[in-house]
Amino acid sequence: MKLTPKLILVFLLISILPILLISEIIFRTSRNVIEKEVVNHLVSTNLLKSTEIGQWVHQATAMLEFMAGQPHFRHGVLDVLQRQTSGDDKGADYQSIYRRILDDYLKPGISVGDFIELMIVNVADGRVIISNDSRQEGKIFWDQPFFQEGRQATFVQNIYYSMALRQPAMTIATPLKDDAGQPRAVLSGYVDLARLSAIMEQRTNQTGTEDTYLVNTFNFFVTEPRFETGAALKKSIHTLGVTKALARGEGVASYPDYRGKVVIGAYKWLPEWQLCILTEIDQTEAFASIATLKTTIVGATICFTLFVMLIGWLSAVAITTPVKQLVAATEAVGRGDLDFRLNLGGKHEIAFLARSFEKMTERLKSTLVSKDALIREIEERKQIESKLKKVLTDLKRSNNELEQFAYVASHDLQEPLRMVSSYTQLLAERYQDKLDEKAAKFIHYAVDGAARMQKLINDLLAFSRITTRGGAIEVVSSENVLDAALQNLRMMLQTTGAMVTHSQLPRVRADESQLTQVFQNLIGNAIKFRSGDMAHVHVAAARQNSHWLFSIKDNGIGIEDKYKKKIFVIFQRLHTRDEYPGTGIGLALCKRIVERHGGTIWFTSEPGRGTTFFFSLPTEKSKVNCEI
Amino acid sequence: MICVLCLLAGCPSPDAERPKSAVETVSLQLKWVHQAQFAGFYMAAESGYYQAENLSVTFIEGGDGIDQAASLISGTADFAVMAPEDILINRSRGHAITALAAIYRRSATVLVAMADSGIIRPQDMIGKTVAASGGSGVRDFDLQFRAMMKKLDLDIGKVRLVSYDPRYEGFYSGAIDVTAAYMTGGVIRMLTQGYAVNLIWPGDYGIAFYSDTLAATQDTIARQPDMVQRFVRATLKGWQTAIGDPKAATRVTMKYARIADEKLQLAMMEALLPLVHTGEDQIGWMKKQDWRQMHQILVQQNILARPLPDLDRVYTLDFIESEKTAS
Repeated sequence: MKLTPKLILVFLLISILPILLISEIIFRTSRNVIEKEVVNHLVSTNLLKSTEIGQWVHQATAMLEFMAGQPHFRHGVLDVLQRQTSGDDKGADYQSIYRRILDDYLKPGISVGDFIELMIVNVADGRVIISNDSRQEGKIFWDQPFFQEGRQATFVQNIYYSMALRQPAMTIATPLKDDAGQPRAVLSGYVDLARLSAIMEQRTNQTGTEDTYLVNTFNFFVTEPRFETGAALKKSIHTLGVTKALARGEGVASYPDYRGKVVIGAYKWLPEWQLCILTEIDQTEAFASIATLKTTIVGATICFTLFVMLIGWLSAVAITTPVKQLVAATEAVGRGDLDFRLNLGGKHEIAFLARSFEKMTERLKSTLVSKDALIREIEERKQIESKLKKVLTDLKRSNNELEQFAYVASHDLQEPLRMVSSYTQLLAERYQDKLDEKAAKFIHYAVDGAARMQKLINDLLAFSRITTRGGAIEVVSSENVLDAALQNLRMMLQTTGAMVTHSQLPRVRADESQLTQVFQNLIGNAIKFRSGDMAHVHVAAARQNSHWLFSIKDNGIGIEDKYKKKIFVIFQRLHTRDEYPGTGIGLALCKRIVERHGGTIWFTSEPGRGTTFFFSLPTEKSKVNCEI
Repeated sequence: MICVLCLLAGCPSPDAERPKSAVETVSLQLKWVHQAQFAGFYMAAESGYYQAENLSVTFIEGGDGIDQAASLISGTADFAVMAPEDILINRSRGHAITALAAIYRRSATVLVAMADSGIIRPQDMIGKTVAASGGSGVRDFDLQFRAMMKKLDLDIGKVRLVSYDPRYEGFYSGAIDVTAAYMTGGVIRMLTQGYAVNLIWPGDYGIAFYSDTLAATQDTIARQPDMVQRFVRATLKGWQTAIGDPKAATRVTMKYARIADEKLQLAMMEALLPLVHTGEDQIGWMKKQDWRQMHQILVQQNILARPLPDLDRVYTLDFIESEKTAS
């Protein structure tokens, strides 16, 4: 499963289950409360109304009994009765008594509102002798229960269909007795059943479908139900509520009512009236608030679900979008596109991941770049190295050849030169007398030239021997070497009076005789090229890393800077032979010896004030490969 | 072939098929032509109450010149709907017919005067023309009118008694001041035609007559008490249902009614309701005093030559009472 639906699902599961559970609990609890309320309401309505019926009938009965107990009324009735029996009912007296009863008692009794008709019935024949409704007078109610029972005591005839009224009726009757206590007439009244219906309807109107009605033992409506007209004693009802109430039961049930609509009904048997009272309310209305509650809860749950799904989706998107970008980035990098940019902001882990990913590609990129450069450089260097090697090899070979040539040349040249020199000198000695001055002069030149040439050849030989015939390089005391050099220069020092001083000198690795040569040449030069003053040469050594740096300082004529290089070239001379004798080999030898030891040689000078030659030599412990 | 059909139709097994007893065919002689007057019987048939009692009931329509008692006596009908006075008269002639239930516990007979006539009680009829006499079909009009006048000590000689005219032409024209009529018939027609009338019901003046009464011969009752019981039970249930829902009863009636006028039948149904269901006792219930009074009136008017010796056997509450205890 992909991340988005999974996250949404997880969000849903986490939130919906508790929501559903809570909703269910709230719903159930509320429904119980509502149901209880409905039931209580219905039951209390029944109770209230049955009590009201009782009170109302009781009140009507009390009024009737009160009227029957009025002596004036009673005597009037007895008078009318007596006159009717005796046939004395035509006169004005009779009429006045009759009217008095009617106007003072019956009609006011009606106006109270509990009765629709009040009448006085003759005990003797059940005939109506006076009634507020004159049409009823003369009717005979002999066989009616209210008459039969009412003769003895107050009696309430339960609701029946009165043919006299042509409508359902309830009749209350009470005896009218003469002074002897004998019943002579029955005061009867039809109670106004509209009042009964009014009692039933009193609270009914307050709600939508609440309906209270009475049903008799024959399953007939006694009062008008709310949704029917003319049903009283004309329509029967066989609902579950009625059946249970008629079985002398009391309770609350849900069942289809007379309209076929499902109602919640409270039913109650009223033994006093032999009726059952039912208060019903449409289940839809009763539970309307439950339905509303349900709708609200379902609505809220749906809204919340959608909200949670949205949150889940947003969270998923917040995660998957950078992940997708990362995936795209890795694929791009996989394809080799290192310039792919993520541009993810934020401070969450994925953003961190993205940033480190970017850093990684960045480094990868630079690494790749430097690697390429490195490879190129290595190749260049290798080429250079191989070139160098070749050059070096060539150089060594040519060097060797040159040295070999120099050695051979100087060595092999000496012999013929010596012959030229010897024979020229021999010529001069043997033919001294025979040669003129000019010839002698020429021979002198030739001998001198040969001697100079011999000197040059010897120098050259020495030069070449530095490398070809060099001694072993070992640890030597440079002080001893300096002493040996000074010993060799003893004559020169004595003649010039030059002063050579030195600092403490170290032990170095060197070819002793060659190092002697270096000291000897440099000090010799310092004395040779002294200025007018007495020559003073100072030799010192200073440690520099793996080398000792020797310095030979003089106070001589100095060397111009432009001769820095030229001065070390073989047979190069800065002065004429007349000024300073020499072949010009000395410094070339020094350079070659120092270089053979792995060192270098240079000088600093102030013309006219003195020169300091420096050369470096390896310390006694260094293992520098000196000979190149 | 039948077996195959049974199998195909998924007939119940022979055991289940065997009824408690075979369906009995019984017949009922009606007092008049098919109309809402007999709604309870139709309801019992159409609602399957008879079937539930293993009865198949055939209705025999009544009409002019059809004597319900004769149908019973001849055995043409097992039961009959008839006037209580006819039961008493036939008894007096030696035909042992017994009332099983008073369907109409109050008489539908009424005396009608125009509303503006000033006639509101029997006393007002003195010196007036009253159409209440007639043949056997409307015997109860004459009977009850006379009984009422007698009960009230009014001199019937001072009344001009003329023949009953079912078309009420004289009454409408004003030639006749008062006419007898059935609340379930003529009165409905008058009202339908827009006449405002005063109704003077003999029942209000001490004349408590039943109307349609269900009866059978003493012989039938003695030989088939179980069948009678079942028939009465289903019939009363039919009436209870019909009374309880007049509209449904009218719809059922329309399957039978001669006059296919649903409005008329419904009006008839509503008019008969208080006569059948009085709000007291149960439907069909009879009282000794009522039979005594009816008997007394017939004797007084010389319709019965002499009092019946066995008046208490004219009716039986056995089947209603057992029905009452059963319910």
